[in-house]
Amino acid sequence: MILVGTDLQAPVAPHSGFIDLFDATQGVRGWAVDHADPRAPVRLLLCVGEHAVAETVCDSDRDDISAGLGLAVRAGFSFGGDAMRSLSAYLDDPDDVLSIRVADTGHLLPSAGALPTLGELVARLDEERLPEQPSTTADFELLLDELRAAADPMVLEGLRPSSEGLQGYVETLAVDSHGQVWFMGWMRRGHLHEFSAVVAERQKYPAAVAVMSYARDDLPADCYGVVGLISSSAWKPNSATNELYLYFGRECRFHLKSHTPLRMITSDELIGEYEGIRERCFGDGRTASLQRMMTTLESWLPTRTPAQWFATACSIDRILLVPGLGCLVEGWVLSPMKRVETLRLRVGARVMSADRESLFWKPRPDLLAAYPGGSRMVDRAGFVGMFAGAAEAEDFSDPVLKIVFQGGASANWAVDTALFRRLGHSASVEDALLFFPALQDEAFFPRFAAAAIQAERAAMNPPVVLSAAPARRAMVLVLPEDRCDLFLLFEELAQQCRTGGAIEAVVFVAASRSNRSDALWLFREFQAIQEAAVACSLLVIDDAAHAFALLPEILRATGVQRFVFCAAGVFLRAAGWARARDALADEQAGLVFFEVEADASGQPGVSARCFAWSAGPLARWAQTAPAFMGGYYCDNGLLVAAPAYAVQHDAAGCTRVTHATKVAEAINAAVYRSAAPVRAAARMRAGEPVRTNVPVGAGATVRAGEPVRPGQPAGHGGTLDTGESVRPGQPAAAGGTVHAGGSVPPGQPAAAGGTGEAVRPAAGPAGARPRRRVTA
Amino acid sequence: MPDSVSTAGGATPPGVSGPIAIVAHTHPSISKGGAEIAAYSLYEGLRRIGTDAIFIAVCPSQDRSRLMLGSDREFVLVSDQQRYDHFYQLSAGDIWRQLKAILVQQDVRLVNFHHFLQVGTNSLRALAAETSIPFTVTLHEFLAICAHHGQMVTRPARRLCNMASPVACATCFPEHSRQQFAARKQVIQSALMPAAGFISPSHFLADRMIAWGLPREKFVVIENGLRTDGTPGQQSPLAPGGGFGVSGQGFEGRPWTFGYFGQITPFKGADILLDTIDLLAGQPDIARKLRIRVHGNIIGQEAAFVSRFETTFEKHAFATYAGPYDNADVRKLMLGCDYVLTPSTWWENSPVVIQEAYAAGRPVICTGIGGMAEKVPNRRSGLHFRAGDPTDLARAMSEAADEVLHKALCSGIPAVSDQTAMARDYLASFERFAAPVGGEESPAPRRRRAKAAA
Repeated sequence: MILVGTDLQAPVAPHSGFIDLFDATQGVRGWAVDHADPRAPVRLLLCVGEHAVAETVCDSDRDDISAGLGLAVRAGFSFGGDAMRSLSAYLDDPDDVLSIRVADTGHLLPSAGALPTLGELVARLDEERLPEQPSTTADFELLLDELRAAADPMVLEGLRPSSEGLQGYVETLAVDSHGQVWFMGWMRRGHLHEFSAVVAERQKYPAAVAVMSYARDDLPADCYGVVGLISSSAWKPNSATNELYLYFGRECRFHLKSHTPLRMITSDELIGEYEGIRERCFGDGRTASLQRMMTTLESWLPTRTPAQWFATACSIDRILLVPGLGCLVEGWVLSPMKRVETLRLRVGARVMSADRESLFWKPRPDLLAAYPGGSRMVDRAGFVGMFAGAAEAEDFSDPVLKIVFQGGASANWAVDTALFRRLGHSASVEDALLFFPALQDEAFFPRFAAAAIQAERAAMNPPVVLSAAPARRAMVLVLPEDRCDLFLLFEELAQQCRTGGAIEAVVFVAASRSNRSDALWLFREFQAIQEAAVACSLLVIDDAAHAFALLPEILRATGVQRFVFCAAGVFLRAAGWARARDALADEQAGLVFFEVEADASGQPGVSARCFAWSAGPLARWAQTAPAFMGGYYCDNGLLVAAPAYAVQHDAAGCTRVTHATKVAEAINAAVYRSAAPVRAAARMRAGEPVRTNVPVGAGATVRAGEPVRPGQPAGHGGTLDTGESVRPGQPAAAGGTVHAGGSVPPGQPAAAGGTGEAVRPAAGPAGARPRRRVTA
Repeated sequence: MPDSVSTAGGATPPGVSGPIAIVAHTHPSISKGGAEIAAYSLYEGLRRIGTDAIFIAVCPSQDRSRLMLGSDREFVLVSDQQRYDHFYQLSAGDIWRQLKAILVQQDVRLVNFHHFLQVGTNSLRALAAETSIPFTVTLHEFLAICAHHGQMVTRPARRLCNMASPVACATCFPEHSRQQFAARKQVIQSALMPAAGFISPSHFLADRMIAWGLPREKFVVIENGLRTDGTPGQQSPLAPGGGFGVSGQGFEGRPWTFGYFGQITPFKGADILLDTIDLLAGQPDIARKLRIRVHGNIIGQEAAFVSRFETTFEKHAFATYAGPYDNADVRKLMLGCDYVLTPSTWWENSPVVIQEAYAAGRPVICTGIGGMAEKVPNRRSGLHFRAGDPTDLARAMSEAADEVLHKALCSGIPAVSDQTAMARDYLASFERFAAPVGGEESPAPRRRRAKAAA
């Protein structure tokens, strides 16, 4: 920058004047008067050598000159930065000297120092070349960051609001919903549109300022109206803000001053006022970025005029709000003029961007009838995307879709709230398939799975106790949703009481959405028939599938310490009832699984749908246990929860095999996998080694294993699973030896891989109960 | 005499003490279905032959005002229709409590259930588990096998079903799983298996139930006996053309009259009959020789069916809808016909209307399947036509309009059982199934009943 000092020396005839400022980027500023007619505007020429390349007129107030002359004159002039940058086009001879001359006279205006040659000016322009014009909002925000950083040392400057440093006024101030501070006002021409600044409001705050300018009839020619952004991480106006200064330039010699009192307006009002002058705003690419930031990217007001849409048409077909993840959105955009680059969605205060990997465009031939002649356009009109963001149903207002066009322009479209569905409430995971048919293969699926499980868990309300008869041991029977099965369960229970002896207590768990009323009268009837022989409790939950996850709360509400749990639709067989009585009576029995037979397409085996355990260990395990879609998946992680467990085969059947949908199955699998480290950690906390599927005999621990199904050979590479049942009381893996893939004769040591090689005892904690398997 | 898988027989044994309880799913004063009428006839028949019997019927609470009990030996189990499961056939526990109280109070020594509808399979299980009162079950249709009203007719196509299986049944009832059908069979069998014996009015039904899993040795076949006022010979078949009213219409060139009696439902083939009337209307030469008279109630049918029904009878002069009838008049009404039509589209067991037709001396034109085919041998006491085929029914009616054939069929009509004969056969079967009933009571049942009372 070339800075030339102001010279107020006495004028000489016939013209006098002076070049106050000559800056390669900001331009030339000074004054000139015609002594023959001091009030007449003086025409000045910017010359390269002998060639005039720009012209201006002295038409701005200069109080200092007027005071010196004792006459009010408009003597100030300026050539803006644009004029400087245009000089490079005249670079025929770098040694050409720049000058300011009074038109028609050849009178040269003096300056404090020699003006540069054209070559020097261009060189300095190159040196002080502005950063490349940001083309995107992100670039622009980066520029602001840099300007803010550059403002940090400026707060050390001594700030004096001198009259000559006053470059304009801040007339109104607004703060948008994101805390950005916007202002409107005016300032002298010739300054950069983006600059580092210091906000002075009792204290000094570093800031970046960016403005866009527009012509204002009420201002002199060397001034223009500005709409700008004051970006400061430390300062924001508040209700007490009444006066402020914005200092900028080298040594903070320039400043903008606020009107007093300062007019504060809302961001909507600001944008409303801006809309009135929008067409007159001019500037370069950065100004466009600022416009975008103000009117679209940071503003979510629906765009008002079709012109601002670039004649775009848009519609949303469906939106699935996934709390914790974002929104799945399907719709279409027809943009005849500009290519749509991306989409953003605001719901409440949350702004979500279309996940780049998930967003895809597809043909919408159905639109061709309404928009004829746009076959290429409709080929890419439909869109589906996952808009990532922490959307929450609690903050659900004024949803807006923002269409960001190629080049950065954008437009807003208000979204009908009636289109929204919420996962876990009004929509199921299967509804997500409408958006993404290959949902489980999408990159965001793990996040979706976690959110779906979270939604599932959030949808669970605690059980409501309708009747409580506290008991230490109880059957916990989740009442089936089919009415006929409900009758059957009570009849089977009554038959057990008739023929199999007393049951100490039964906790019935009904589902309010399916069987509450029938459950209630059947419960009362059963209660009446059994009189005091069976302690009967009835609790109601929303959904029978929630029963397992709510089991710790159910047990707490009824005081049950030892229980047998039967999920909805599970019916114990005669042998199962006998084993259930045994399991209730033996509190040391630990975890006992009752194998539930399924049909050929189902998966019989160990599951959380039917098991006996104690309330304490269950509660501890449940602290880190995940929930699953439909309530159940494999063993729900129970297998690794206990150092020992037993399996009662052929113990139960079910009246309805419910097959989880493909997507629910995939979600459960993903959650089960992701929860494995948690389960392992829980197991480590419990003092149990983590099972590793490595050959026995290689020092692997083999204490906890997967369920062994009848007839299934175990011991992949010599792992524990033998496919054989271990008799009660017979030590198996822990502290013992096994034959992998072979039977274990009572009292005989086993060998790995059938070779007779002994397996080292597992290094489990002392006193750990051995795993045992019991055949019913 | 009961025809039998394992024939029962014998006279009423003397010295029987304690009543036999006949339990029906409803009382004849509430509903006039075949099962309840058969049950009530048996009750009356037992009492006529001097056997102490009580009649216990389930009555929906809302129908109590219509109830007309014949004596203080008739009892009612008041039910709440909303508290019944028609899939597993499970009633509210209150039904069993009421039943148990009656059985104990009356010191019942044997219970004969006329199927288990409304009483509930749970009541049978409870009876077996909580008492040692022996019980038998009279089966009136295939309810144990088939959830479709015990008809063994597929849903919704209404094709005849030859064998139930969980998979096939789940196809008829997609709202239920095959596991539920397996459980249904298990539950119902567990309720029936403790029964001392089963009585079936037809071999066809017995064979189906045996194939389903009930033990053959526990079955007897006893035909339903018609109710009488006690006049000897009341159920003897009349000679062709004999009886009351307009008889012998089919002779000497006068039109032949074909009567339909019973509930007017698609199961009973009413829609087949309508189709047949339409077909015959297109054949004026045949239609001129025929009259079709329909007696019965239209209950619970869809509006489209009712509309079609009414239109058919308005359109064709040779067809008449005579409206509902009192069962006491059935003989007289049948005598006004030359043939009785039984076009049922399900298997049937032993339709009372066939016995009533025989009693009136009228041959039967029926669907040639199941219990109908068994009770009406083709070309001996009636004619068969193909199930669900109105063309074949029209053919059979056209063929039947022949004096020689009519006389031949009338001469083949078998003797008809009445309620006292039926009662004797039942009593014999009770004696066989539960020996103490017919003779001196052994100490064991007394102890068991005492246990139940306690």
